[in-house]
Amino acid sequence: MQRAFGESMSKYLKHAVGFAQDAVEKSLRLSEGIIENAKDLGLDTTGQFFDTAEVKLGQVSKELNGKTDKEKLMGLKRLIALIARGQDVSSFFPDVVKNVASTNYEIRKLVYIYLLRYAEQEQDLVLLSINTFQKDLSDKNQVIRAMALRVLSGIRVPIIESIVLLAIEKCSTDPSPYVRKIAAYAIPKLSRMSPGSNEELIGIVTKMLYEDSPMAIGAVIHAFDSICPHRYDLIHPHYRRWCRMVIDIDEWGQIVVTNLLVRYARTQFLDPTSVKSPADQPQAQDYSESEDDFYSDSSDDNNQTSAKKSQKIKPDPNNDDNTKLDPDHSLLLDSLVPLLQNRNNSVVMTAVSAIYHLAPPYQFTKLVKPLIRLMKSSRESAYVVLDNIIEISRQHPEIFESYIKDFFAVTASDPVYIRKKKLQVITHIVSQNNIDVLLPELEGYIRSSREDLVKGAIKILGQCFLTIPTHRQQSLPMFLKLLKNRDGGRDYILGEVVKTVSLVLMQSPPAQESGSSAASKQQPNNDYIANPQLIYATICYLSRFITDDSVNNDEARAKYYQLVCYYSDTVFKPHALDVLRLAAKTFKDQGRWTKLAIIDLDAQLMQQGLKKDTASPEAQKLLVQLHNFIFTLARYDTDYDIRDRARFFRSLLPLDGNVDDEEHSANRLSSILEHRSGLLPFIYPRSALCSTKPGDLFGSVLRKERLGSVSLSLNRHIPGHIHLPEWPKTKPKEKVDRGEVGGAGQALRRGFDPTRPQQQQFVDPYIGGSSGIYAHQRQTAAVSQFADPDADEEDEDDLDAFLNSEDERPRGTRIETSHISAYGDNIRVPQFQEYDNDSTSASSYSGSESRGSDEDDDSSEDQSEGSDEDEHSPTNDGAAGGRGIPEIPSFYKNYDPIGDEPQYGHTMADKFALVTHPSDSALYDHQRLDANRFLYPTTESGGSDNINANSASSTPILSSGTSKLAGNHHPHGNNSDHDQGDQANELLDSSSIWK
Amino acid sequence: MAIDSLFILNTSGKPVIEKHWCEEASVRKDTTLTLPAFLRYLEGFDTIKEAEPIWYYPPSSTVCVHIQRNDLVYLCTMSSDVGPLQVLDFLDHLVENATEYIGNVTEVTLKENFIIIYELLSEMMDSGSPITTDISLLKNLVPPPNFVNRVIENVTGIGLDSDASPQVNVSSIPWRSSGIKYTRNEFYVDMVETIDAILESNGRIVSCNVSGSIICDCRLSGMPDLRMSFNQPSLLDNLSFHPCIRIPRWESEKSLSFVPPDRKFKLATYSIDSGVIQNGIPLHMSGRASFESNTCNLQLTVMANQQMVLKSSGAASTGALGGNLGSLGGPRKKALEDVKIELPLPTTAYNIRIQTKKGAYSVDQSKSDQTKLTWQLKTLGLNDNSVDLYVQFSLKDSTSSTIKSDASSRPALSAFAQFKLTGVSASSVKINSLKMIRETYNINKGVKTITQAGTFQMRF
Repeated sequence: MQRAFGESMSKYLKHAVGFAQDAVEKSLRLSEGIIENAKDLGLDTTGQFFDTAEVKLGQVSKELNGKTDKEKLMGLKRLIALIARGQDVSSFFPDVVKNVASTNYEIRKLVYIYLLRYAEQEQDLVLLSINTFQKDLSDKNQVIRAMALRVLSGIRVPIIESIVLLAIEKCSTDPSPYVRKIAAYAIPKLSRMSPGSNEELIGIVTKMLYEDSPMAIGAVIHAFDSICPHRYDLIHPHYRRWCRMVIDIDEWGQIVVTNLLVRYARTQFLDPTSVKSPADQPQAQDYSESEDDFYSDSSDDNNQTSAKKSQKIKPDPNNDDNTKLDPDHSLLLDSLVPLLQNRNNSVVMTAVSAIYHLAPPYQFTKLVKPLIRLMKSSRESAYVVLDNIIEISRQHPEIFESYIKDFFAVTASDPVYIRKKKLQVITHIVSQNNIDVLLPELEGYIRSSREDLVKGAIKILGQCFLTIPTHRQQSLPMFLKLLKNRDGGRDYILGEVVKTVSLVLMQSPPAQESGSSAASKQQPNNDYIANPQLIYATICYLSRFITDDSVNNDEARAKYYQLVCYYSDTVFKPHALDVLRLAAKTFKDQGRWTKLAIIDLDAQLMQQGLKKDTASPEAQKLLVQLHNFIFTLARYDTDYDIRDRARFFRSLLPLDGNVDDEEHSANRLSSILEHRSGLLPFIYPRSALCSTKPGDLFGSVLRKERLGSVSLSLNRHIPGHIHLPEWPKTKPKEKVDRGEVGGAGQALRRGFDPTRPQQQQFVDPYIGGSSGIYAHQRQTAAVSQFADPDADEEDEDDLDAFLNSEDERPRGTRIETSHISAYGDNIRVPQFQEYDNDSTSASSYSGSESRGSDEDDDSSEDQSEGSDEDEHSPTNDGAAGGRGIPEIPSFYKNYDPIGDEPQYGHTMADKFALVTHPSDSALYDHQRLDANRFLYPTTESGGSDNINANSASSTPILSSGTSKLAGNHHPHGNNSDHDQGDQANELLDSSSIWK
Repeated sequence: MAIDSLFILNTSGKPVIEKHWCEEASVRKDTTLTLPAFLRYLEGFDTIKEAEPIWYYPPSSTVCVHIQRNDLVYLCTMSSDVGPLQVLDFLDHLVENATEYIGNVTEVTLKENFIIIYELLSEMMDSGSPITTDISLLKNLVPPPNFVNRVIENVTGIGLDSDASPQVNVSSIPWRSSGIKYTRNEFYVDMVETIDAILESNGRIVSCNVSGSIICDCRLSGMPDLRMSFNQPSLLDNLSFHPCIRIPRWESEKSLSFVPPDRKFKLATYSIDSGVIQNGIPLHMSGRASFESNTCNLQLTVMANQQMVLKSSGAASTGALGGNLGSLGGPRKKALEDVKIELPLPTTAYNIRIQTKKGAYSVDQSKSDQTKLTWQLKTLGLNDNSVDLYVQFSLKDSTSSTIKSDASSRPALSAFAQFKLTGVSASSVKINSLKMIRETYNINKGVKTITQAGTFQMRF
């Protein structure tokens, strides 16, 4: 019975469900039908307004003049639709402006939108609407008042300047913070329209700075920033109040307020870089109770460097309390910390930027997590945030070290630009501590089919090589494996490896050639990078790939020639000329960058080789012949830059190819060297080659722009970028009153206290009638009489305080100078920028200066053709003594690659100074073998070619010399290089062209 | 410092809506010079996604900042230095607020609601600086459309609200206006945790991040003051808060104390330190790839984390929440839902053969830059132990010697998983209690926990 009941029940339920589903479908169809019907009936849906606006333009005028609000609204909607589509409907201005006084709020809103768009073009007609706005300014509804002011100030008609000024003044004391906010936003608009009114506006802003509604204060400071951003004297009385308030301000206000407070603090307090974390200071500090998390590991490092800096900065030895923060300074830092947890990304970024520019370095750890959170929010934000992380990690890599996994590139979801930036961050933060996590990841990247990822991984490997000495044994096999990998589809790998290895080697400090005092103090140095024999072997190894043409990448080949050039006077000296000889042979087939690099190599060798004591006459003769050959080819090259480069060097090395006159030319050169000692060094200063000064193989340089700005993201100066003031060198002497701190302890969040009555709705002024507003005005008028002279006085006082700070200089000039100093290096050595792929600036010097030298070289053409055959002749009968102890090329004396750099240059040099790790002997043997095998391939097919025959015959002797060289375990000290040179002389005996 | 113009562009690069805050001369410059140049710039990329969001056009010295949402490109131009994140955030706010007003923002809905968008824009931005972006404030200034109103408007041409005077909330809690009244007081919380993970082919976890967000739907009368506490607040890391949260209270008591905005809002986001993810990952994946000459064999195994799935079924226990917080949603399935595995294959792959016992698969070769294999599993529950997918394909090559035994030269393959698990959080963080002071009525409370995959990748 029950079972039967159950069955019938379930049947019933099934029916019910089916019925319900039917009903849903039917109702759906019905509603669709209704919409269709509506369309058929010709009722305008809003979408049709948008699409048909153009067609029905003819009836707009009629509609605007219609009797009902409905008609007017239709006409206005059509107009707005056309505005939204970017069409010009300014011809309807007279019809629209009539409706400005409409009682319908909806109509008025649309009229305002139209007015704001076209008022600038119809300056006369818009005056018709002014009366309405003025009437609205006294409306009882705060939104209407605000809207009237917003439109009035936004219509950009200079004639009404005084009306707007009055309106702003009136609204600036409005009881509603919303209206005051809009009044403050009107100030920059008026100032832009008529700069003449700035005086009055500053007066208004000064009064408005006393604003205590979190809603309006952001707008007030926005106004301050746009009309008098450097009147820090006006900030003093509000500073502490704002520090307390900043948490309660709305998000866009927080950004503005924070930025102002940062600039203020940079003019008032001392550089905090030397401030130690409270843990390092045994004595209790009353202001440090809230700073519980800090990065104690890094503080040692930072303190050492900054201690030096601060000593330099501080002329006054009595002023020694730079080791602790000013209480006001730390008040600001404390109040910025909660902003890091804001939901608005740009607020967080602003707070990060502020803390980064204001806080002592030990506090930077707290920036890491918020930054990583922002990075994960959206790919667009990640783009911006990563730029800033790159900047921070360049200077403080240690704080990101343990977060390396967050920067692993995800191939599927990250666009190329994100991947690139992530890899760049990894380059900065890779260290001893995280290398083990990174290596498996890198192997994955190298296997990837994405070219950018593979190249990036190789660069990171190169960076690991530089920064982590103990890791070298691990990563070298990876490199070698990569080099052996002749993957058909991915031949860019080889090129990238050659490029990176070349770059890495060029980042090493110049190997000391003679026993200078610095070298004699050095420890026995078996480290890979600083070890001349290993460098030698590596270059030989790379040579293999260049000579057998397996590297097709132009840039990689160019980097190789730069590398040879870089070591042409030190470890690779014996073969530099040979490299040039082989390069000359294939010169015409090379790519653009390679040709330029070969020309540079030629010039470099010429500069060294023509000094009488460094080379045999035969070598010099060959060199001159090669020079003429290469430069003749370069002169008729199709590429403008190559011709230009050749001309440039020819004017510096004015040699006519007359070998007999070689003594004369050498003298000429040495005289040039003396006279142009300021110029020649730029042929190859080491640091100019390494475009990547503070250890960045991605070729980016340190930026001075403030974090979070668009200038930083774009790597260029965008107008309107306000540089941060430099810290004052001394503490401002006079005490300034920074206002009340406010209630003791943390103010209750948002000022919202559950125990207080909370309907804090501001009373609309109509309650008090218009007299209320008048009273306000009277009051403020009185204030303004006193306020202005007051402000002036303060200004004068403060001038003393700021006199030393650069900030008092006019903005424009300051930006100019800092711009130049940031690029100073590049301006002086324009030709090297080309290697940074910066082709836009490549032609920054023009070739016109060497027109003359063009002509006097005509005669050398025939000779150079002859020299093509001549160069094979044996040239081995010179005195050997000349080449053993070359003196330091004069440009190293004159040019200190570290000292000449901008101040941030030290970091890399410091790193190198520390690189003293003993190298593994197995690795070392490997290198030697490779060098022997590959330097001059004996099996080259073109045996009939004289050049090849020559090089082949020289191979055994060369390689024995090499192995002897490589096996030479002399400490890299005082005499090792002499020994090296002498031994090489013995061994290289008869075949060496250098003899 | 200001934004000059805003363009909302459709897929073909035509502006659907444009709005200018700058002077007439700059308007001309932007529309005739910068915009065409920007479109050319976008055309240079295969997908808009690959275009860098910040781009400088030297001839007009204009910075272009853009985001892409729903096939629409939102472009801001500016000629002075504005923080790029500010612009991006403003655009995000714009999209968010517009979605709140008109639903999904597409070209069609934009055209239908252009008046509202224009009104919103004029409230959100004044002469190029953002002024009001908070949705609750905006709703006072620009009344949101509703269906009845739209019908009336269509018939009469004028909406009901057009005469209502706008108001603005200037109290110290601008996100909540006074006088809100509901007959049924409800407060629902969604805790959504997203897992980003990278797995190795043997199933080992390389990296794993859990990020969560607490989304509330508040329908409470008056001025309630709420306090939300968690079972393990110490696990919550790297938080960001809605402005309504009193941060000092969180610092001292580790509970969230706030006066909520009305309706839906995101209360907080957090992340979980990967070291303390107690429940593990909901989906185990492992795989094997072998290459023989030009043929590749792949085996992919997926399995649900049984313990987590079990917990998800038992998650309806309401006792922990004081009986008031009921569980939401329909009857729970004891399974991972919406399981989908995507496997991008090399473009040179051909002759693809697939074999599996469960789910449906498809191969998409329509795109030139990628061949994508999709495996739809729908649910993966307790009954399914481990499910395998076998793929075999060949690679066509210009140089036949490319694929060697050398591991470094074979293509890197990875699989990406999507799934959803209701009722259990990866972090095991729960909302312990939700208390209200200052209002006396009873509230219906509910918590829904969802764990889903973000970028969940396994590398072969």
